[in-house]
Amino acid sequence: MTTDVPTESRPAIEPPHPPSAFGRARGVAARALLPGWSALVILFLFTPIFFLVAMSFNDFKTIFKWTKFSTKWWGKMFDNQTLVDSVVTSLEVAVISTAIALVLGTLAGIALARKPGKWTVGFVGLVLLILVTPEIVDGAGQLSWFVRLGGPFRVGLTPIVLVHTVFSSAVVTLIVRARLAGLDARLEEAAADLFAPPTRAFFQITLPLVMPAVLSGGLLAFTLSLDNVVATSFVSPAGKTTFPNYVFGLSGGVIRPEVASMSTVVIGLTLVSVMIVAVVLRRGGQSGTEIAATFTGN
Amino acid sequence: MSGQRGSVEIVDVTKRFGSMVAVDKLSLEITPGEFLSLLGPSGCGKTTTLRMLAGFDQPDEGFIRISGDYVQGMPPYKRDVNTVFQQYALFPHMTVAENVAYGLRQKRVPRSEISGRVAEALDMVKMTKLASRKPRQMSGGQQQRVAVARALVNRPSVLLLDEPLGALDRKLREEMQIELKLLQNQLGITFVFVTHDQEEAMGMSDRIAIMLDGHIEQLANPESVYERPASAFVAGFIGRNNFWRGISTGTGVQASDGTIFVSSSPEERVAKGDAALAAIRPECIHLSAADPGSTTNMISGTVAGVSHYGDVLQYVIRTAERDVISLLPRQGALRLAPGDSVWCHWDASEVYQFSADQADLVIHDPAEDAVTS
Repeated sequence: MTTDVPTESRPAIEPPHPPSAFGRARGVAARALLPGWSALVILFLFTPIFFLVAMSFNDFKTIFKWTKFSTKWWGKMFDNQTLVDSVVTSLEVAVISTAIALVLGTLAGIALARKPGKWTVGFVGLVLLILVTPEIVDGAGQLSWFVRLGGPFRVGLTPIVLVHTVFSSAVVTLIVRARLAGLDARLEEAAADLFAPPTRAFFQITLPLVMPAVLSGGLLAFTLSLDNVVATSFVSPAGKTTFPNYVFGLSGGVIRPEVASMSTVVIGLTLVSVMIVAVVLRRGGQSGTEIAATFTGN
Repeated sequence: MSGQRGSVEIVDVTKRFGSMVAVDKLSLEITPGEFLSLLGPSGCGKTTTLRMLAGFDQPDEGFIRISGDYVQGMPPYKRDVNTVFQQYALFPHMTVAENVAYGLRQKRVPRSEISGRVAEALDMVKMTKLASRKPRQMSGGQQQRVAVARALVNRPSVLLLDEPLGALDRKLREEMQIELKLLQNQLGITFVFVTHDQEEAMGMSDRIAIMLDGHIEQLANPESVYERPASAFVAGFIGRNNFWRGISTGTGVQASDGTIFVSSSPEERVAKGDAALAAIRPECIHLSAADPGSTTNMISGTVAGVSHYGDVLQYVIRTAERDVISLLPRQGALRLAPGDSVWCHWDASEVYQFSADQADLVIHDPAEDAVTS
């Protein structure tokens, strides 16, 4: 009702004080220090990588002592058959496990977002359990299970792919679910309303809309697979070694610059795959911020 | 009649969600080409009713016929109806033209025909220029127009609209109301329009179904629901009303504050001696600065507030038990200042009486508002 409510007396807004000399000095210092601090953090994060890349151009026979510039190890890295094999194994495992994880994780993520119910709580719990289980426990468990199963589970890529697929699926599931939960469920109803049967609505509406999440989930799965050591070392059958496990095996002794060269190649591969995903997302009309958000799984 | 294209028949439909009854034995017949609004507060079942017409929800009991066909269990994509969604639900990864073409593509309409019909539909909503935009590059009002085009391009037998104007600002909403009504006149398609905004429903509809708790309180044209509300709830929901609690006197109501309401057309459904409500619309409350010298159909008070709404003046008159709202045309209105004594009076023909069943729905005590959100 419009009755004579007494107007509340508001405290007068105080005029802004001119900043004190100390305040001004603090402002100047902050503006000067922030870039410096940022540079330090970036240095801290990336120096080791730069160091490794630099050492691939070292003339000496280990990466522990710099003598002079040389590209000879870049030529020699392909002579080391074990090293080359390990990279091939790593890439094969990463591609296969990522492909399986994308199918399983996308379907699970869509189910979680679109058919919520009591089951979702338990299922998400299981997925998180996969991610928080210490890898060493995971690896030991998988090994004893594969030994029990025997046969194909002890040879070739199968055991490594399976181990990687388990955590990759969990990652993709959570990312796809997060993306779809943020999308209006009415879009799928709108497709149905416009005469699209469920399968067509899935391929024309749902899948394109979750594609950024699928891509970023795939990228994350790929890189997680590429640098997994602990679980892989448990289940790797005789004669199959992944690149990180090969390098890790050397760490007690001499690491030659050819390993640094190959590491640089792998870093390059990772960067290229990130760029491919970014380009695909950009083609799909996503802005830079959206692409960044996608990479962080939002 | 009921078998014609564009007709809708809802017969004894009940829909439950768990233990909650969303729609309770609702029956409703809509004639082809009609503009019918489902109007009611949130939770009254209007959106559920619309969703059952679209096929997103299936009735637990009863049946629905659209254009004479039973649609039990028929999925949305097989129904000859289209929906304009709340918040539009445009496909964000498609352009405006692709959005509008979507339904036609699903129906495998020849490509040559699609482009013509899309252009025609966009022209109809004045969005031709933006055909290659993506939804996020458009304002809410523009998205709204595209959503209408995307539905109408399919030439559905019935167009379902789920609070389509709710997200627009007032001016745009009023413009769209006029345009939607014109479109509907021009196309002759049945419109079922869900809204909680009574002005929207009053302004556009041929008939309004006012819903409460899963059933229809009144189904009538805008004039009737305003002039002959079937219940206190309708009287309070459509337009505004001043309500008094009291006892039926047979010829009217004796209010608890002593005011005596005498009606020229006594309500027969409220027995003499029963608890009753009397209601007078604000625009029917006349004011005079002097005692009109009557003992019935009047109440005295003092002016508590004045508001200017352009063409009308609103007075809030404080009386013994309650505040009374009076709306007067600005021209020739009595000019009063807060604190002035005043007498409110009204004609016997303007007195409504209702049973007291819905008293708590229409007389609000702010202290007793249920916390729902």
